[in-house]
Amino acid sequence: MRDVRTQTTRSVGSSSGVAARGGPELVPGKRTLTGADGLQLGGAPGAAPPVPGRPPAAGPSGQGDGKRGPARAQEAPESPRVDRLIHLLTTTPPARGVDAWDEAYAFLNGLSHSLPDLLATLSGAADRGYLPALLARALAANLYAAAAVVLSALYAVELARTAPSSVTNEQLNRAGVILDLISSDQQLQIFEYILNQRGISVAVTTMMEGVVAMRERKAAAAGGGGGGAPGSGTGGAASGASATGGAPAAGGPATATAAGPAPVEPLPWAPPGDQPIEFYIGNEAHKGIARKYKAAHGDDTVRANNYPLSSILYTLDRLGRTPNAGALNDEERALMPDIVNLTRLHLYEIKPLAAQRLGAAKVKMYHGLFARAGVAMALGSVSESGTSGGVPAPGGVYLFWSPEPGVIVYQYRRARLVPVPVPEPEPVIVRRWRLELQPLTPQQRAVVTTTTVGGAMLLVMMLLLSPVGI
Amino acid sequence: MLLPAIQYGPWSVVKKRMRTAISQLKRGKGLDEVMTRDGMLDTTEYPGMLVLSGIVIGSVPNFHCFMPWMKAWDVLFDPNMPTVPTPIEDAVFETSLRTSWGVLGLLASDSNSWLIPTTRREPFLHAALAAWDEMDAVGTRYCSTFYGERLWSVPNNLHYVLGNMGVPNEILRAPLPPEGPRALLRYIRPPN
Repeated sequence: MRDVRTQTTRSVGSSSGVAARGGPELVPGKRTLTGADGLQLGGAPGAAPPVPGRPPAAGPSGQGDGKRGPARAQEAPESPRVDRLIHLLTTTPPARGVDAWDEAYAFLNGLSHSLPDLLATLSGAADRGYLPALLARALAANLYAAAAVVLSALYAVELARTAPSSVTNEQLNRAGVILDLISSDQQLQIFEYILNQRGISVAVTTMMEGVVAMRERKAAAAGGGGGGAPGSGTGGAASGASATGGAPAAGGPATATAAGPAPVEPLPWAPPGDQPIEFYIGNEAHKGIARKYKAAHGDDTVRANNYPLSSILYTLDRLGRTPNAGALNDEERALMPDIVNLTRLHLYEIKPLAAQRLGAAKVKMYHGLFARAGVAMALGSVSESGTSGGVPAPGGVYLFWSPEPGVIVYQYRRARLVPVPVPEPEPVIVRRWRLELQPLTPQQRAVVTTTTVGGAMLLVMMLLLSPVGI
Repeated sequence: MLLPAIQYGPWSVVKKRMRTAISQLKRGKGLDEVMTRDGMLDTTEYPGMLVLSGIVIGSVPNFHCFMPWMKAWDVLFDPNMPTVPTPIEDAVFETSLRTSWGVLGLLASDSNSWLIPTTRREPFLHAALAAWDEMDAVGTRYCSTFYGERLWSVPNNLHYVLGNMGVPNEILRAPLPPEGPRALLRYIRPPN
C-alpha cells in the first residue's frame, strides 16, 4: 500500500461541478486556496487577522489536536464567509436539543448549494484554528436539510488536516458513511478537494476512491450499464473499451487459447482488522490492477503505488538516464504516481470510472513533473497489455480498462467473470475467449452475507449487499 | 522456512523496526546481524501472509519480506554516483544471497531496484534457484494483493531477471513446469 502520499495543491476549484468544467486542474506547488468567487483563502495561523469574539475552546492557533501536518496552511484567510462563520462560532451558543437552532450550522447549510464554497469556507475556518469548534458542535448539522453535504465537507476538511500517520479508522469510517449519503457529483467534488490537498494521508484518498467506486457499483447495478450483463446480449466482441467510454463488454480483450482462460472468482469479504470498507475496496483495486500490470510486464522496471517520485528518479538514475531531481521541490518529490513503467517510460493513474477526469488531470500533472525533471515520460497507451481485464475483488471483481492514455479506470462489481467462447464461423482453429460478468453463485453470496461486521460499518455493508442488478 | 522475526508483525510495527534497521545498515552494520537480532521464526508456526509487494496495513501480523530492501535502497543510494552501487549496497546485496530469507527479500518485486545492475542478475538467479524449493514449500501464502498464492504466481524478481535474460513474457506468465524454474533456463539467450 502506498504509505504516505503528499499532495501539493490546495485549490478547491471553481463553483461548477467537476463534470461541468471539462476536468479539474491539479497544479503542484500551488499554495493558495481559491473559492468559487476567486477569494484567496488560508494563511499562517499566526498571521491571521484578529478574530472577533471569544476563541474556540481549543484556541484559534493550530488545530488544537496536535495532528496538523507540518506543511499545511500558510495562507491568510480573507473570505467574508470565513469571517462570518468564525463570528457565529464565537458569538453564538451551540444548539441544545433537537428543536434548537445553531447559527453557525444554519449558515453552513445555506452554503451547501455550492460545495466548493462550503469547502473553502470550512477550510478557511480550519486554517484559522476553528476546526475543533466546528467538530464539537457537528451534531447541530443534523438540524438542517443539507446535513449530509455539510458533514461530508466538514469531515473531508478534517481528514485533509490530519497528519498522515494520525488518520484513524474511526475517522475514515465516519467520513465514509456520511459520504455515501450525498450525490455522486458531490462525492466527486469532495474527492477533487481531497486530491488537491498537500500532505494528506494516502488512506484518505484511497477511502474516497472506495466511496466513489461503491456508488458506481450501485449505479451500474441499478442501470444495468457497463460490464455486459449475462444473457443480456450486450456483451459483443471483447475488444477494449466501448465507444461510450463504458466498461469493455467482456471485461477485457479476447484471448486466443485452446482451453478457456480461468474464471475470475470473487474473493472472501475479509477486511483486515477494523479496516473501513471503502478503504478496503479502493486499496485492493489499486493493488490488484498494479499486480496485473506488473505480471504483464515481468521484464520491465515498474513502480506502482508505493514509490515516491524521489525513489523513481533515483531508479531512473541507476538505469542510466539522468533526471534532474533538483528541478522538483520536496513536496513534489514525495508524490506517488500509481503506475510508472521505467523501461517504457509510461505513466498511468488508476481511478474509479466516475473519477476518470480526476485521473486524467492527475496523470497530466505527473507528466509535467517528469518533464520538468528532464524525463520524457509518456501517458501509457490504452492498448498496452496489463491495462484491461478483470481481477478478483473482495466479494466480487474489479473490471478495469484504459479509456484514454495514461488513465486506467475500474468498476467494482458484485459478480464473477467467466470465460465464454467468442462466436466465430466454423471451423475454428484457435478458439477465442472473452470474460463475461455472471452473478455470484448462491454459495458465494452466502459467504459474503454471513460475514459479520460491527459498528458504523454495518450501514455500509447493508448498502453493499443490496441486490445486484448486473 | 525460517524468516527473521524483525519482518513479522503488523505493518506499522515492522515499519518502525525497519527504520532502525536501515539506519544501522547505512552505518555499515552487517545485514545478518541487523536482521537476525530478534531471532528467526518458522513460517509454519506463525500465521499470516508472506508479503512480496504492496504494503498490507491493518493489525494482522504478516511477514513483510520486501523489507528492509525496498526502503534501504533509497537510503543507500548515492546520487553523486548514481550508476555505481556504494560498497554498503554491494555488501548488503552479497550478504542477501547467502541466506534463503535474503534471497526471498531480493525476490520481492518491491526490491527490484537491487537487480538493475546487470552484473547482479546471474548471481541472483543461481541463489534463487538454489533456494527455490525451500521458498516454494511455504505454499499459497505469498501475496502482492490480499490473497495468498504460490510464489511463482506473484510478480517477482525471478520473472524480471529471467525476462531480461531472454525468457519470453508469456512463459513467465504461464504456470511453472513441474521441474520448477530451472526448466526455464533453456529459454535464456546468450548475451550479445
